[in-house]
Amino acid sequence: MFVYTRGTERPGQALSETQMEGKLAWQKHNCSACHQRFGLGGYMGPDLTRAYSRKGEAYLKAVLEFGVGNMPKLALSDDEIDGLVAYMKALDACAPPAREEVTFTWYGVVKPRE
Amino acid sequence: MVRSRQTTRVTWPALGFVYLGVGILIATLALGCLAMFHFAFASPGSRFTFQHSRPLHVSLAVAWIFGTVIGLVYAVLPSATGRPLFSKRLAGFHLAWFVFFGLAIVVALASGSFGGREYWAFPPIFAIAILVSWLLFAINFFGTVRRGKGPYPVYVWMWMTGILGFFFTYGESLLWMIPHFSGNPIREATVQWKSYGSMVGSWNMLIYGTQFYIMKQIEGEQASGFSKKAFFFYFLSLTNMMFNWGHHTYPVPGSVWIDHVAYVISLTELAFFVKIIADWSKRLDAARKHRHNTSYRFFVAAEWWGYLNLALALLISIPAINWMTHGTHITVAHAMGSTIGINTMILIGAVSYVLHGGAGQEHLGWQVSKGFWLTQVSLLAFFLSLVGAGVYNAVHEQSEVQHTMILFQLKPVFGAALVAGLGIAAGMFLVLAKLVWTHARHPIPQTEPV
Repeated sequence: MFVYTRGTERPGQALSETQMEGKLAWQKHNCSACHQRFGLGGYMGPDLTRAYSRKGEAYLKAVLEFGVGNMPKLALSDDEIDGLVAYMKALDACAPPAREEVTFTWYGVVKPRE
Repeated sequence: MVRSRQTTRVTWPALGFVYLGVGILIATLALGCLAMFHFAFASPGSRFTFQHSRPLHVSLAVAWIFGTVIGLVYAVLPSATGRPLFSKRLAGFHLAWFVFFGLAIVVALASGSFGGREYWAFPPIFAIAILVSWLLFAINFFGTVRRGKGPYPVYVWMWMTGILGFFFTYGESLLWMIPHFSGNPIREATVQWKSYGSMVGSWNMLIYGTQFYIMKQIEGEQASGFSKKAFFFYFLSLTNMMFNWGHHTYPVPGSVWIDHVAYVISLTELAFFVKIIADWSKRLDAARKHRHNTSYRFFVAAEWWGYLNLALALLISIPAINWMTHGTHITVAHAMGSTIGINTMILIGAVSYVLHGGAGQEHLGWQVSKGFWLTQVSLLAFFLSLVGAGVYNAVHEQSEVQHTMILFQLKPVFGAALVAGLGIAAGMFLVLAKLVWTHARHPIPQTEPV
């Protein structure tokens, strides 16, 4: 287990209290049925690992409050919405690089774009 | 014609688990079609949505595999060890426990009470019930094996390792509740992927062990359970159980070296597994193939699905392709290809052997044959639809097209996948209905042929 989790320690990565509340809200509403974090979860909604930097806080709050497309209106409390946005901010902070930040070699390896 | 000799009557709790497993598979297929319908034609306003149907489908799929393989091991263990089951009463209690808490989990998920994990999304309190269920199985298994004399053939080692491996990996999968893991997103994702991947390794041990035993029985070659090749495969599977999760952690920014080690081991196991079935199929004479035609067909189907999965797995093991496709429907095709194409094919073949092996399976006739081919053709269409959707998604998601827009454009493909899913369900229903109905009407051959 310690071998498997090596390389997972990053400075400032531990979740704050608000972020932890967001994580609990994620679990309570089973967000994993439709959304992924680090490739873990469903396919109906987009992967939310990098959603915070891609969409911004205001957009995420609006979607969480009113729903959009296939995303239902979940009747979340204000605290839950704040917590979920904070949690997505934490995911974003330790997310792998975005498409525009990497390049592929001809032999199939992914490298950071210089 | 191969003569059969009645040796050990299959106990009623074993048959209960097998019948229950068949029922769970039919429910899994129905909920899978419903989940696909929800996915393709979402209705966010309704009370029972994809948020409910997906976890129910996934949990039942896991229950089909575990419940059935428990029944199969209970059924063949006395014959495999030469000793009666340690406690039939305990096995009966185990069956009742499994049914009671299985229903409780279904009710919890259907009513929207979630624990929030991927795959086993039920409230974590049910983890205790699952551990107790597994403990009951372990007591009966080791109680029976302890009375037998060694050395043990490879399938007994595989069952032992699968049972112990489950305790270990299931314990790991619960680590997400400890703050050291839950408070660190990367660590939590790594541990979740690791534990689920290894758990698949533990159920593969139970399934492959059962298949090895049945292949040996059909072939009538007792020494095959002790062959060097079989034990090499066992150690390969053991290594795989520890490492096969690696290819799913490419998107997790942890240690990279372990991903590549894991993938090489995982692919080697799959390649070796299909080779063993292919060799067995070549050795088997025409009379035995005919006598056990249903088991034989489904085992050989697992071999072909193994080739197809191997090809896809090789492609998605290339880091650049994995980077672009992980989290698209190509990953679903990979999961469905192995869960339905390999595991379910083996289990149906094994169920047919336990229910009809004593009298031979040649009398099962056209219904099983039609159902078999409908299942295979539909599964291929389902698999290709998912791969197609995954490729489209991978290409367009990279160009920042809205996810909802991609799903909308892919609706015809998901519609085709739904039709193919209905075909799989219909095909399997034809086979399972015949297996169970014929057995229920003529329950005499509840015995093991030698």
